Amino acid sequence: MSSGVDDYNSLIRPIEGVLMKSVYRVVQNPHDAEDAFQEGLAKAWSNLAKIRRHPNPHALILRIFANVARDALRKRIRRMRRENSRPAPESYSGNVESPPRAVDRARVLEAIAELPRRQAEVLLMRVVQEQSYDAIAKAIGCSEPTARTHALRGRTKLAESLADMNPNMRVEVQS
Amino acid sequence: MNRSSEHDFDVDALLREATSVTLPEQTEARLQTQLDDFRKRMAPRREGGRFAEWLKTLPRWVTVATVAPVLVLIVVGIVCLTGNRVAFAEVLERFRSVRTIKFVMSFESNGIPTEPVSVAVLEPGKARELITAGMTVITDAVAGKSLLLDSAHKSAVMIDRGPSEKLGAGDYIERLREAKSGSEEKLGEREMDGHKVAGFRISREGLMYTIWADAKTEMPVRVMVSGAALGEGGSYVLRDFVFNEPVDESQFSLTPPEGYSVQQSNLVPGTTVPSEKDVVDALRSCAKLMGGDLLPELNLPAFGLQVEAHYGSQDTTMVTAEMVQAGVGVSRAAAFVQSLKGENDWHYAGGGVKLGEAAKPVCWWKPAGASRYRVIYGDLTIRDETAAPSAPLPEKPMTFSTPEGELTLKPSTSPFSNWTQPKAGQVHAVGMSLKSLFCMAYEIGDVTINAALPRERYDLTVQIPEGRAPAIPALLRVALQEKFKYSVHYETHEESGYAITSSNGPGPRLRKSTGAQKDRHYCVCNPGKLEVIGQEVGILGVVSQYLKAPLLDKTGLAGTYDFTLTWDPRKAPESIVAALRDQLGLEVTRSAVPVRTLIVDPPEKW
Repeated sequence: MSSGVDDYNSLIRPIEGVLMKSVYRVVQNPHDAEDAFQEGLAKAWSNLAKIRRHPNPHALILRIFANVARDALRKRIRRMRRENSRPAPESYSGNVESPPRAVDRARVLEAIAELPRRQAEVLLMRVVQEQSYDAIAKAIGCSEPTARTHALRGRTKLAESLADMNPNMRVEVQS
Repeated sequence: MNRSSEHDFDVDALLREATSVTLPEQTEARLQTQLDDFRKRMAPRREGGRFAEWLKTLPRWVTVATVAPVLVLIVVGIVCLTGNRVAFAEVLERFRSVRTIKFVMSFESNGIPTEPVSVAVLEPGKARELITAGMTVITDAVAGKSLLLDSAHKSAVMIDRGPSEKLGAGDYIERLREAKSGSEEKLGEREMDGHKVAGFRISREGLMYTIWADAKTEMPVRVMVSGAALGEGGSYVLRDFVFNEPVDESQFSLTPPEGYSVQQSNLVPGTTVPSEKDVVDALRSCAKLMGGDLLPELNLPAFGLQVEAHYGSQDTTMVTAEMVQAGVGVSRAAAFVQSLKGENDWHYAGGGVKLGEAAKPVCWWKPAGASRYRVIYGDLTIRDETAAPSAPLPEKPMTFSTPEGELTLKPSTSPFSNWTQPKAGQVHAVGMSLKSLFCMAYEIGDVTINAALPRERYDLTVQIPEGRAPAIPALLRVALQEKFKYSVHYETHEESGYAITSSNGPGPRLRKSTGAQKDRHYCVCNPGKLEVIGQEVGILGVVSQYLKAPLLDKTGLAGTYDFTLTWDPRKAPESIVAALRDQLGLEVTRSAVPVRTLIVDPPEKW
């Protein structure tokens, strides 16, 4: 029987770097990233037996970290709303290597946080973690078409809430 | 100004760009330290701790014997401490873990059900709704299309919905699938249809979901959806759930059956937020359908009445792509109006205006934060005006009091049409057409009004004092006469129809109204089913619409009855004749039936 440490070393250790980056890309704040990462490790550790038996253990681990990142994002947005300010990512304040972009990241992150859990996790796994739909479906325990449906619905909701960021949007004058 | 968006909005690219940040070296170092600490902490421990390790050393039967009593005690403790024995998470899981769900959905107003719709939902994102006999809507959310099938006319309308998540009636199931346990209100246990059920209530997107699940099996028994958007006392009721039953997936195909004529309808994509453009589009498409007349009210019931007035009833009219498109347009326009608040000062005055009348304002409102009004005129141009056009004074409610009772008639704004008679002598009706009010007042099946109607729909309240006979039609006649100052005459002609007699007395399913139901009176007639509580036998006349011929009551049976008549709508009228004979014990014969029509002659001006 394999121990938890063995499982950790074989399943999680090889992808520690990927996990760190994927959490930070969503949370975009050092303190929240640390908390979320810690939370993800604890969750993965307590579910090692389940992960070991899973048909795609890495996909399941990535799913756990996608969810903790989303939860951390939601928590920060709630906190910022209470304080009546926008949930600007820390990266805006110069603590980032990439320069500020044209895209309003805070708006996009806010919109992701507003998505239903399943839609958010599928989109994050697909776009941020770049997993295949097959892996996503295995991780969340559904069929591949269902995973695609969740992604489609998530995209539709994002398109609605971020409609004004659509570069193809045009303005018409009513005649 | 209007905003419209293209479909090809690459959300993934936006999301990728928004999350394309590099992990700063400083943060990476801190995370690495955290990771090292975590590894150190976990190293001396084993997964699950010492107790689990000790359990692993024991034989399997010893483990079971040791752990089982503890688990039983924990479960019993949880059951005793919490009222509901049913876990809401388990109930939600029933919706999530299945591939197919079948159920029946009906709209109820103050407890009175209206037409039921049979719904089947198939993952991923497919739904099939049997709206009436012969009218089916198939929706595929992934493909972004719906197919409306009208089997009576062998016609199909392919509706391009755009990238939308809407599944029609299946939407409610989707909302439940997305719900999370923890925020639910527990409603305790009660008896429902002979089963003990546990109730939960949650709120989702402005609607309240009340879920009743079997206390033993945790299977959902009934879901009620209510909220301001469904009107006061209005709710959708989902029942008769069947989970994971194999379905014929070809029934969810968007390919129309062979021999059907197919029309295309391109709907406004669901991704855009309803805007003033939707109001303009709805007015234009409805006016095209109605010979240039703008809608008297901007809502779906008014649209339905206008379609019926111009094209005849649903039974005789083939649904066209234009009708579907206009109907969806109206619902989007109504959604825009609903999004406005009191301070936006919305007014609609489209009744009597023709498309193209540039001087006549049709509707106006003040956008949030704006100092000027947006006004849509009869030629469907939108202009900014400093002041609101002078609105016609709203029609005031009229109350008619007589010793026989009190009746109030007021213009309706209800999005629904429904008649409720909670007990003898009390009526609460909303959204009733003037034509149907005349039919009720004169207790006649058909009425011809020789004039354009001043207003389409009214709300009606009747209160008869206790001890008085509930002469509601007489009171309604007085009220209508006083308000509209019309004159009437009858015309009678004979039609080939059916007569019902009862030489052997009422059949087994024709029961005298019981004490338990004595205060309830209603009649719900749908294709294939007539449900009657507390009505005279003459009410059977309502099935004449499915017999396609008048029905004359010659039974002589007095008093009120409760009964349900069912028949196969595909085999009408023969199946109705057989049902009347076999289920209600009535004889049915072909007969010439005198049909009286009420002709209403209004004064020169209403």
